[in-house]
Amino acid sequence: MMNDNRNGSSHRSYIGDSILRTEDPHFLRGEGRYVDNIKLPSMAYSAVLRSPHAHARIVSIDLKGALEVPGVVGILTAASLEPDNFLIQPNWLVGDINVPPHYLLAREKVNYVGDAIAFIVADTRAIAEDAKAAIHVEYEILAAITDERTAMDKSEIYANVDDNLAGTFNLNSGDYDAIKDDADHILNFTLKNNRLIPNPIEPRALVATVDSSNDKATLYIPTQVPHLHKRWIAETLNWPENKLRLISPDVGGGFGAKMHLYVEELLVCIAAKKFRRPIKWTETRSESHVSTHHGRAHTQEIEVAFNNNGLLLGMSVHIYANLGAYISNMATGIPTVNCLGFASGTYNLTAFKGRVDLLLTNTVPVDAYRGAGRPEAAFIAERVLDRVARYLKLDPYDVRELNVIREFPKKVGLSEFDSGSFSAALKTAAEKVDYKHWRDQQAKARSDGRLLGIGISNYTEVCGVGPSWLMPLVGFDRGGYESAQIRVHPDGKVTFRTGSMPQGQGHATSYAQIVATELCIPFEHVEVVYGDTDVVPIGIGTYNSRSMAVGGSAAFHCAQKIVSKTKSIAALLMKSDVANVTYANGFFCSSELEPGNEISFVEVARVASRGHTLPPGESPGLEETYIYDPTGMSSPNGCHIAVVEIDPETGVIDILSYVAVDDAGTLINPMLAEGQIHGGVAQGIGQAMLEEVVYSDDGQMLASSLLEYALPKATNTPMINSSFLSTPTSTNPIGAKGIGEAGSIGAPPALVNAACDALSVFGIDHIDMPLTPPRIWHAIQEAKNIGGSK
Amino acid sequence: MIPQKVNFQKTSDINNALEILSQPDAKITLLAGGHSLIPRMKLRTLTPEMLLDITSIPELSGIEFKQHSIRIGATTCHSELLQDRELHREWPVFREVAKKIGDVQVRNRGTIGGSIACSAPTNEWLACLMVLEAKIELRSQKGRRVVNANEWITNHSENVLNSDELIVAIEIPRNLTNIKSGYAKLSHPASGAPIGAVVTLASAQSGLITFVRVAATGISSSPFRATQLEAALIDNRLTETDVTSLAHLISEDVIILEDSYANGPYRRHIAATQTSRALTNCFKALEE
Repeated sequence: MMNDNRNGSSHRSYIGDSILRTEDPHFLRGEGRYVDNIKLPSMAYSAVLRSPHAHARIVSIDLKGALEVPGVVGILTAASLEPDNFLIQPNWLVGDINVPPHYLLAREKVNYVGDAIAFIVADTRAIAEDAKAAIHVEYEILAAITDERTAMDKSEIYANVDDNLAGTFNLNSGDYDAIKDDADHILNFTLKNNRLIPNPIEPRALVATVDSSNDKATLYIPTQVPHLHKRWIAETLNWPENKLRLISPDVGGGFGAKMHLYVEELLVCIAAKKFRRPIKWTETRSESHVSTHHGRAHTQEIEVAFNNNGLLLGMSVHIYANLGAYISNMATGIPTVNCLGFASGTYNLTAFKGRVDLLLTNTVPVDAYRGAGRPEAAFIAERVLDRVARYLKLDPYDVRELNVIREFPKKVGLSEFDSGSFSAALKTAAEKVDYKHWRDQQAKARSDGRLLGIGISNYTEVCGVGPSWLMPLVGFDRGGYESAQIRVHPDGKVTFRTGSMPQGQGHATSYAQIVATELCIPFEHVEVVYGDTDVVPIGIGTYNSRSMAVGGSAAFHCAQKIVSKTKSIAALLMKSDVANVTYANGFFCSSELEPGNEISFVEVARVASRGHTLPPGESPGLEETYIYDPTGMSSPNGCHIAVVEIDPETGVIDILSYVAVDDAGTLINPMLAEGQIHGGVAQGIGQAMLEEVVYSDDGQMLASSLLEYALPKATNTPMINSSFLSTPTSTNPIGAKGIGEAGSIGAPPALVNAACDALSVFGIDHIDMPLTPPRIWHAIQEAKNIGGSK
Repeated sequence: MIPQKVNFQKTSDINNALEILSQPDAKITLLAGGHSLIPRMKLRTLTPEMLLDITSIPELSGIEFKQHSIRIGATTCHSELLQDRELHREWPVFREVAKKIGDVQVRNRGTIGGSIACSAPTNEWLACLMVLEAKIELRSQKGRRVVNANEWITNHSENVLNSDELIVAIEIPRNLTNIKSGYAKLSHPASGAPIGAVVTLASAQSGLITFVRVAATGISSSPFRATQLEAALIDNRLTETDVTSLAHLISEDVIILEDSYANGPYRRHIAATQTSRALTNCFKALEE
């Protein structure tokens, strides 16, 4: 008989528990298994020859010397690939977009520093590099375009894209021009949203192998979207999708950069088939900086109309979005739907007039990076609020109080916020940081010649975009659903499969919390499986802070299906009407029976696996699949407040206090949610204070190595006072809203507003990110010079 | 990236190392901590033919106190200099300098000898050794020679080390006269290298500055002694010295480094602020 503990706490709700991550012990022991750890028998290695020029015609490619290097297996170029030099297609095309041709390997022309020209396969990685160095390419250098603001005035990069303008996007509500005429004040300013390099600790890596017995290819790939990647690769190569399997082992960070289709993913598959050997490709850090797609890179021209009391009336936003040299996967959706749609932030507006120009340049393609449009949007809204407050000499807190959205549901741009705590988050954050205290401190500091500043940032975003039927309306060629599959083994233990794909989020823990709670079984009895397209039947993946909201809801419903079937089996075993059977704490009981006749979940699992006693029409076993399609998107929100002190002599910023109040609805695991805030804020500090890709006029990336490109380190990160409000969403059954991107959205405006507040004594209105010490010092000198010449 | 093929030898015998170095077509690159060398090899900006690992040569390691000097072996790593309390009792500046070099891993591998052999424009140790007027001991098969740290860098911003020579040790004086020090550094946020770092030594008698030395790094093509500033400070009254107004002398007649992060005017300004801070700390210590 079963040894069930009928009196003990064999079950409880795990939702809201800060359970330690079950995946951590193997990482902490150094036993993580990443793609680059995989070694297959007779595996060859590869390297990519990349363009050193931003824009050049390829006159000739001489492979002779390279092919003579001992150990070289073969080299692919555009010429040797024909007729299989396929085109990479974007997955999200908002409106009418002129898509420039993006070949797997450059034909005739290279279009950015990093553009792939040749794919070298050799017995070792070092030989591949030696052969790469022996390839001679003759170029005819062409003028390069790097800046989005002037890209339209330059000669065209592609014959099919006039003015280098791939497309435009407009979003209007109300009559901005009429409102503008009636407003007391109008302010104009320009913001630069700095280009960033996503730096997951694990760069991209691939191993492809083809089984000659069935002609089936397996690709090991650190992807955020295994099933989408599989579809894209099969579609691009015209391979039958049932002959392709993608496996994602441990993934060391993604931040959006591991959800785009890259040429290497296709080249490694082609090469594995052609050379009949498993082939590995691993990008180095420096290579990653010129080949893994960048983020942000906007110039934003803003006009805001408002009244004497600080009431916002209307906003006009014109975004020049730098797409880089090719249109990457989601690139056209980020500055348009994801940014322009949120440019008014958490505030009421009577009218909004928005336009995005999507511009091609000779730079690394730009795509989704943690926040993906929402950081660019929150930056617009929050700088607007501070500029308005400054102009009217009002407190930025009061101006936010006046304008913040308080009523839900609320439709803004393309989104509907079903619920939110916009004003409560603002109020709570101000209390937590002790806003009044810091305003007093600021006044005192100023009289001592010290520069203290306080910056507030409200944000909202949209996570778990759906339903699926909505996606094609904005040109998105994918669904908004997520899958869940539960298999209850004969002993009652559970395998849970999800189409989500963690890159560090802790899904093995958080999904087990949901499944264990809904099945009323111990957390330890649930194993979470993901990252194998032959094992997980269908899925979308992990991005857009969607896993708990969408995948978690799939898990919830899937568990309900299991509970429903087990109940019917239990009813049969107890000879009761199923309507009289209840399930709690791992036991089924019937109101028709005396206490003591309960049947355990384990017993039902055992019976189901034998198939001996089943209700009519039920099949043996306990395995259910549920694909959840959200009824609407969820809209988390929050308020971050930063207090900074600036050293006027050096321009160095010290973060004195940082408060994050976030509302992601129901939190499955608050510790993991807080971890997401910490990481997001750190990356927000990176954008606000440290990181920027700068191109020279001829398209060379300056500061391209980590010796020059500054990532946030522990020493840059303050103590983060993080807390949560909970306004569950009604758009999914568990009420979860999404938390993964919140920190990177909330932090940059809080920090920039704080720094600009500190520098307001010099009459400085704005400094572009990143707020490096030299940039701050120069702004102070310039302001002093202007002041002095008055 | 992946380095080119390179040959590797290791010896724990100093005479063997010197013999290998003395061979006419040796083309040897010495490997100690490797923290300047390996990154450049990975990027293939440096493609040595033969590495000679000198980390296990006993004569090159350790910190030894003598009657009039302290001998620091060339392969002493930054973290040993960060942790040696006996050394800090006399020259706390070693702790100040070491703790702002790189990170823990870099400090555990990188060596003082390797760092002065590379002589990067941002080298902190050389500035420190310049104010100490340290003696750098070199050996080759031909014999031994000693170079003052202030004569280490040539006019072309290179150093005097010949290809057949090993840096054996660095000898600094004992601090027997209560000399105080000051150090201030503003680091680049990515590399950790100084945008400007200044190290000072001073002592005073009856409120007069009787001894002062200042050196800077990260500011020009190589670390340098600020002799003009030293001359302006000597014999001043400690309490009446306006370091803020004199600090600009640090970079008079110096060609300032410029890069995409910090341009000339900013770096010149930082040189002055770090000078002022280093001197203030140093003078404060003297007043105590």
